[in-house]
Amino acid sequence: MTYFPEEVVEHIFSFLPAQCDRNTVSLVCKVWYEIERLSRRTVFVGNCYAVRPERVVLRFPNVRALTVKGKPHFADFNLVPPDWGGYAGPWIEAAARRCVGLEELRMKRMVVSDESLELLAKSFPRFRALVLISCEGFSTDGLAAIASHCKLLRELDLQENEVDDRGPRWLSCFPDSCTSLVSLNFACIKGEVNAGSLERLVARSPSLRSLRLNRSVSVDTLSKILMRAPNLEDLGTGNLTDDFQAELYLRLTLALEKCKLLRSLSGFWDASPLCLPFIYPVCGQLTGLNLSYAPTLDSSDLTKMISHCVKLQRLWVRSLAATLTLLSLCLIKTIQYRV
Amino acid sequence: MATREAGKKMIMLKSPDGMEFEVEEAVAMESQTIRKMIEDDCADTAILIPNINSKILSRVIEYCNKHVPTTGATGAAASDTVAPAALAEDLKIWDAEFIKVNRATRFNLIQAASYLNIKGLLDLTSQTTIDTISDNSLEEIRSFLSTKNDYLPEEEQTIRRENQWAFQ
Repeated sequence: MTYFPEEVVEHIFSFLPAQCDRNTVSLVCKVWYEIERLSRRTVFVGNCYAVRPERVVLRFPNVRALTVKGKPHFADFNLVPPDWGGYAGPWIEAAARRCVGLEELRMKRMVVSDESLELLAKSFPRFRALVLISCEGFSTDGLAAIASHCKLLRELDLQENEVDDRGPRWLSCFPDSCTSLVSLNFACIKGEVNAGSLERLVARSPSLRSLRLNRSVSVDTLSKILMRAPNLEDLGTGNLTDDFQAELYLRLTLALEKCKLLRSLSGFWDASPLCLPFIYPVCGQLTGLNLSYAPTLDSSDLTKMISHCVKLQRLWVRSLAATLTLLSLCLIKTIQYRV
Repeated sequence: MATREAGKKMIMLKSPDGMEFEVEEAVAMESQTIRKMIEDDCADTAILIPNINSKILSRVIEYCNKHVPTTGATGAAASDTVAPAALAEDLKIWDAEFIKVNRATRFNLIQAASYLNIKGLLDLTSQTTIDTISDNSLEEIRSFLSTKNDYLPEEEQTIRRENQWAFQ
C-alpha cells in the first residue's frame, strides 16, 4: 500500500469540493474520515431535523460556510402549522461554542430570533456573509446587531423574509470602517430606511456589485446612489411610483447609463408605465430582468420594454397573460412564471 | 535540450539508487525543499534525495525544467516575447501529457512532490487523483488506493446514514 502523509491526503481532498464526494471518502477508512471531517469547510444540511446541531459542529469543527434548511417548501403557502419548528437558535448557539471560524451562514425557511442574530454578530470574528431566505421571527434590531458587529461583512442578503420593522436605525449601524460590502439585499424590509445613511454606505463600498433596495427608496435617492456605485452588476430599484416628475426620471436615466457593468435589474415596485421609457437606455445591456413585483404593468408595457432587451436570457414575470405574450415574442431563453 | 550558458550554477542531485543528475540551480530551486537547502548553504557538493528513485526523480526534474521561469540568452524573460496566455496554455497541454502515467508512478510523484515541496506538481497529481476518485464507488476507491477498510460494519452504517440524511 502506498503511504501518504496526512497533509498530502488533506491536500488531495482540497480538490474535492462536492459534498457527495467528500461523504464517500469519509467512508473509506477511519484516518480518511478524520482528515476529511477536520478539513471540511462547507457544510450543507438539507433538513434541520436530520441531524443535531451539536453533532454537526463536533464532526466539522473547522466549517467556514454553513447552510441549513428548515421548513418544507409548502410552508410558502401557509400549509405548515406555526409551531412546526425550524429554529435557527440551536444551530447558531452550537456554532458559537465550537466553530468560531465560521464566516458564512445561509438559512432557508427557518425561525431566526433577534437574540440569535445578536449572538451570531458577536461570536464569529471573521464573519462575512449572511443569507436568509423565507425566514421569520426577527426584526430590524437583529439586523442592527449584524451591521454593528460584523466588521468584515461582504454579503447581507435578505430574500422574502418576514421582518418585524422597528424603524430605519439598522442601516445606520454599519460603522464607518465597514467598506467590504459586495452584496446588499434588503428588498423584503417593509419600513423606511435613512436615505443619507444608505448613500454614505454605498459610497464607502467600492466592491459593491449587487444592491437590491426596498420600496421605500425614492427615485431621487436611487439616482444619487447609482452615481456612487459605478461597478454595480445587479440592481433592485426602489419604488418607481413617485408623483411623476420627468426631471427626476431623466436624472435616473443619466445615472443608470453610468453603470456600464449592469446586467440584471429587479425591483420596479408598483412601477408606473410612465417610468419605463426612462429605463430603456440600459435595457440593451441586460441579461436578467425581474418584473414580478410590478403587477401595475400590463402586457403591452412589458412587450415594449422587452423589445429593448436584446440580450435578455432570464425574465421573471407574474401574470400568465404577460408570459404568453412574451412567449409569442420568443425573445428569451428562460422565463420563470411565478404564481 | 538547449545548450547551457557558461556561468550558470549547476547542482548535483543524487538518488538513493546511485544515479546523479546535474541540473541548473534555478531548476532545482523549483523545489522549496532544495531551495531551502541551497539558501542555508547545505548544498556545496551533491544533494542526496532520499526515498525517490532515479526513475521518479528524472520525471520530477523533467517537470521542473519545463516549469522554471525561462530566461533567454540576453537574460530577458521569454514571456516578454511569448504571450503569457499562450505560454500557460502550452504548459497545460504539456502537463496533461506529462501526467499520463500509471497509478504507481503517479503515487510516487505525489510523494516526491510532497517531500520536495513542489506545489505545481503536487496540485497536478492531486487533481488527477481526484478526477479518478470522483464518481467511483466506495469499493472502487478502496481497491484503487489499496486502502484497508477499518470500520466495523455498524460504524460504517452509522456514518453512511448520517451522510445520507444530513449532508447530501
